[in-house]
Amino acid sequence: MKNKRMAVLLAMTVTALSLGAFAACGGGDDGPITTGELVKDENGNVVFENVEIVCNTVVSGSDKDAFEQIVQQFNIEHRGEITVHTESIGDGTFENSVPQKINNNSNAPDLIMAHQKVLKSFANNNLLQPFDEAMELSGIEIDLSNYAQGLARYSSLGEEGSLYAVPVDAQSMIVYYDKEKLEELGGELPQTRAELLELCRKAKEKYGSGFWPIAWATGNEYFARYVFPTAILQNGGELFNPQTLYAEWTEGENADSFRNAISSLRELIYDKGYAQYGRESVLTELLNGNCLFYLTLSWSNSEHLSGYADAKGINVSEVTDYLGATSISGWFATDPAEAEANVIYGDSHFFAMSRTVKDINRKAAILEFIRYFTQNAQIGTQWAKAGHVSASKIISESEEYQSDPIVSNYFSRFYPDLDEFRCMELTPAFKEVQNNLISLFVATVSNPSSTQDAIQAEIKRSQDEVNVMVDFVK
Amino acid sequence: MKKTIVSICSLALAAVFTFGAAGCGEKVQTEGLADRGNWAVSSPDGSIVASVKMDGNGELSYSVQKNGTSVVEGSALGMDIAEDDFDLTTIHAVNTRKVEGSYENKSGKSSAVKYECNETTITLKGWDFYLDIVMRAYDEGYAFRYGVRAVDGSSGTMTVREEKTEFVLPSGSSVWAQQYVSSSTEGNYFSYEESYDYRSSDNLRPDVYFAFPLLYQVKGTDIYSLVTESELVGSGFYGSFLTMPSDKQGTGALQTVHSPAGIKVNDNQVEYPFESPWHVGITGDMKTVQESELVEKVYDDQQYWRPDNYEQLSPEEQQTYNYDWVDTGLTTFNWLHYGNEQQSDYSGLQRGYVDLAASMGWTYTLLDAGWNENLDEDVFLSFVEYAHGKGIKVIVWASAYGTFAKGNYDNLCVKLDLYKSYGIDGVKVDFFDGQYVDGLKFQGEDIDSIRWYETIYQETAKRQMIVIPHGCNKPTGERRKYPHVLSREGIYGNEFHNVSSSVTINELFTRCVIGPSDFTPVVHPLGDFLTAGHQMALAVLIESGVPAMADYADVYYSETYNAFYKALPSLRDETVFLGGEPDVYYCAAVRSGDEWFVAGCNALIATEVEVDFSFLEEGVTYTATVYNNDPESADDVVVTQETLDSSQNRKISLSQHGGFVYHLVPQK
Repeated sequence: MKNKRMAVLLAMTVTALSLGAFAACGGGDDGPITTGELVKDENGNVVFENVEIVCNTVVSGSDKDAFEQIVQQFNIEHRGEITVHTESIGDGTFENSVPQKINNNSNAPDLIMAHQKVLKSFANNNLLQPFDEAMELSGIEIDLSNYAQGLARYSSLGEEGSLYAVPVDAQSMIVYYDKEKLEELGGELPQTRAELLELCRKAKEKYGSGFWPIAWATGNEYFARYVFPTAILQNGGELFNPQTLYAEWTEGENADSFRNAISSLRELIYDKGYAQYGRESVLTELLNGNCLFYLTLSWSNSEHLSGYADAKGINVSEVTDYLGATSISGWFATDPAEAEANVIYGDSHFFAMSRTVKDINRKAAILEFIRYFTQNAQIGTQWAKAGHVSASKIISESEEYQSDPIVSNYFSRFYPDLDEFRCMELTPAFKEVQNNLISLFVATVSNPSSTQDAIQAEIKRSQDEVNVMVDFVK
Repeated sequence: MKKTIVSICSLALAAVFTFGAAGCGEKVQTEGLADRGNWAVSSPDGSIVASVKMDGNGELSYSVQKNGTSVVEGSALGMDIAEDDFDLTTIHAVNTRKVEGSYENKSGKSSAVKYECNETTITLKGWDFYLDIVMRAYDEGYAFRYGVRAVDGSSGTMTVREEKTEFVLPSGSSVWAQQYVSSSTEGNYFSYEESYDYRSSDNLRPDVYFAFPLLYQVKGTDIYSLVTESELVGSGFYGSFLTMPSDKQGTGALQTVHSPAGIKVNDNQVEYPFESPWHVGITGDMKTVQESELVEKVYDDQQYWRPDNYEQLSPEEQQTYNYDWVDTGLTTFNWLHYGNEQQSDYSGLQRGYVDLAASMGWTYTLLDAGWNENLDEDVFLSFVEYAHGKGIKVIVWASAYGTFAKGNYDNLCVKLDLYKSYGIDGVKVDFFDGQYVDGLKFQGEDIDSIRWYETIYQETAKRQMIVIPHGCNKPTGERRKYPHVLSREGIYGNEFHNVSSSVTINELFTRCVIGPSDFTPVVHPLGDFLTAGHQMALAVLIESGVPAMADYADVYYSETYNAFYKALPSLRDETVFLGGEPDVYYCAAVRSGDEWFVAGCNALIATEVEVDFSFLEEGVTYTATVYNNDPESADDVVVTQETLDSSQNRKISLSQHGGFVYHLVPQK
């Protein structure tokens, strides 16, 4: 525990220093410049000739190959016109190394594919430029009404009327369920927390000790990153005040939301014994038929399906006979009438343009690539199969997307309504909020005998740590 | 003291040699002076002309033409060493000769190889050193290297400030290259496991490093050139990358520089007399490039390595250096599916794979990382005895710096002796890039790392153990000197699981041209971007002396695949490129004995290829077993049979990520 705290504090300090340094460097900049001229054909379309752009992407896990595949397909289809080069930079270093490259204009990316949460910090430090001028000059339009409004609302990065970031996708924890067992338990998926608890009770009763109605790996950091904020939001909570940026986790109704979120998790783990705390992996529970629900990460979907098929000696296409998919909507809302009861919290990739891009041909090529990635049904389907449900309505409403068996059997069920999907909101202190939520989760959920007073003290301590850094950043 | 004297002498005498000298010793560029020397060397058929020039200011450059088309524009040549000033040289001698001969491969694209080229050596004399520029023209490309030797014949150590070599690509060239990206977010590591991506030479940027080999196509022509290094091991030099000098953006100029993945500070101490690695440019149409073995031909009549005390060895001991003990052949490789945890399962899994190897007629079984976790020697010895009893040789995994104590020679010998005492027949040595070992003094392609490769090659040779480097650099022809180095990673292979067809196609056009590759093909694809047909094609198209078959044992036992994988050769008598295009598809044929394997594989866009079977022996009818993708399942192939001869063509539809194989056996 001590080490974890130290790591968090260190991360906060490094981020603060970095932000300070960037702010200093960014000051006095005259803003983005546009140079060069576009050549257009008789239909007014931009004619590209050997334009190359560099994209830094935070995609670096098992989904990296799918991303590169899509880029390669774009490159082949645009040979002689546009080539996109990619560099994957892990989540842990992305928010430091990319700003450095842009500030130093050394190996700087032209295009950034980042999580939504980092973009406000990038914008505040003058690392980005809006797409509006390039759209106007090139005629290549990104119409935000074609994107899920739950995500598109982050696109201005707080500068109303400007388009700084284009939503690509959404991803969070996903849930499989054992179809045979669900059928034995009545066949109905829970729509509310009360129904979830009742179903788990029946499962525990029917299958006895050693069976876990819910198998989840709280030891995986992503659990605390995604599920804990989901629980807070589903109870009506707010991760920070969007006006002041301060964490207000002990104030008024928000304090109730935090307490209820923690209680909702503790109840499942300790009071009812329907789930465990501390496991790094629970895959064996799924493969051995020891669970009803199995929570994992969306970008591992393909591996899980093939792993399950291998273990069962069946083809991947047959897995749908055994495994169904559902959502954690409503699972943690102690009040089913809560307006945010069905919200799911996670990450979303956005495209944004570095301020270092000057040539209008390169800016237009960036728009062309974004349009390809976020408006082409075949590409969107491929990307969804890699674990990223599309933020684009053009893609999500297409026949190809909706008829794809992986999308229709899984992703459309993991995230039934992207307008109910939430990200970090806009704050340059995203890392402090995220890290303190993780440490708060560990501090308040790990100990079966924690008292309400101890939990309340931990909430206040974590809140105060966030706010120290907010003061610094502001 | 010596350096001071040299500098004074340089200043005093510079004027004599037409340069003029500025007060601070900086050379004054004087325009309009006549070139001081021009030399051209043509290939035997005259199609390649490599020209070297020393201009009026003493600047050295070279250029290359193929059938009159510029392939390398005027590009800098030279070395900058602290001990002399090679800007102030005189032309000491120029020698030309024809180099020709032949050799036989223990493994490679073909069993017998002929080489022939014309060579010009220009010897320039500095104050204390000669600089030799050795330029060769082959019908299939060009090669050049430097020599630095003391005028007084002494030996010693020099400081290389810079290698000046450039490759200036013609404007508008299409380039396929592997960009340097560290394998880890912490530290600089590179093991040549990136993709070879397209870009235009006009858009090359100074802040990017490219690894060898780099392929480019001259705009508007069917001329390709694949540039790389050869004879790196033994040169005493570091491995080089290419990067654009910061003042040359937009020129297409790429300069050779030290690998960015090294860690040794001031890694520039080089022993002389010195012969640099060869810079090789395989040049011609795509067929010429793909079938070329130029990286290995530049070794000329290289003898296999022998220790210095060879003459003192007994006749029996000397037999080791005939390398007759080197067996090529397929190996099992179960780590992809079973991981470290089960490598030491000697009663179940590993015996099962020995049985597989024996049943398939393969040569080796490979025990990967984890094989010696909590090793019970008696159990292991019993396993080795079991494998040997079935005629199967045993290869084990080791870490270049982890197992062998950060590059400690004594430790290496102790470990290899131990392995030999176990009866182990070969070592797969991993992580030459330095990953996972702290406190290293060298890694990657630092000079001492290249020496470490050679030390391992030599010590394994002494013990009659084959070697497969992994986590390593590109091949530079080492098997011409160390024929027991039968395979090599340095390729983005199946261990990444979700390898894309767009990656594999370009690897075939680039990495696989220059030496053996340990891709570890499976049958049933591990990800979404390859198919069973594509994986089978890779098993044919990727050359290796020890092809590692990485799928589950039951796949190879199955009726569909058994005959093909029993017949798959490691020894190739001939390789014929049949067609393809980077980023699109690749098709080639391989002959082993009187059987042919024709394979093709496709990238992202479905296409149709036509295979012309005129390469088959005229008058012979072949029974072809055809494995093509099952249109219903990327996991499977459809097997058919037909009859073929050299007069026939076939049109074959290739799906996205698809592939096919024809196994042709002559009818008796």
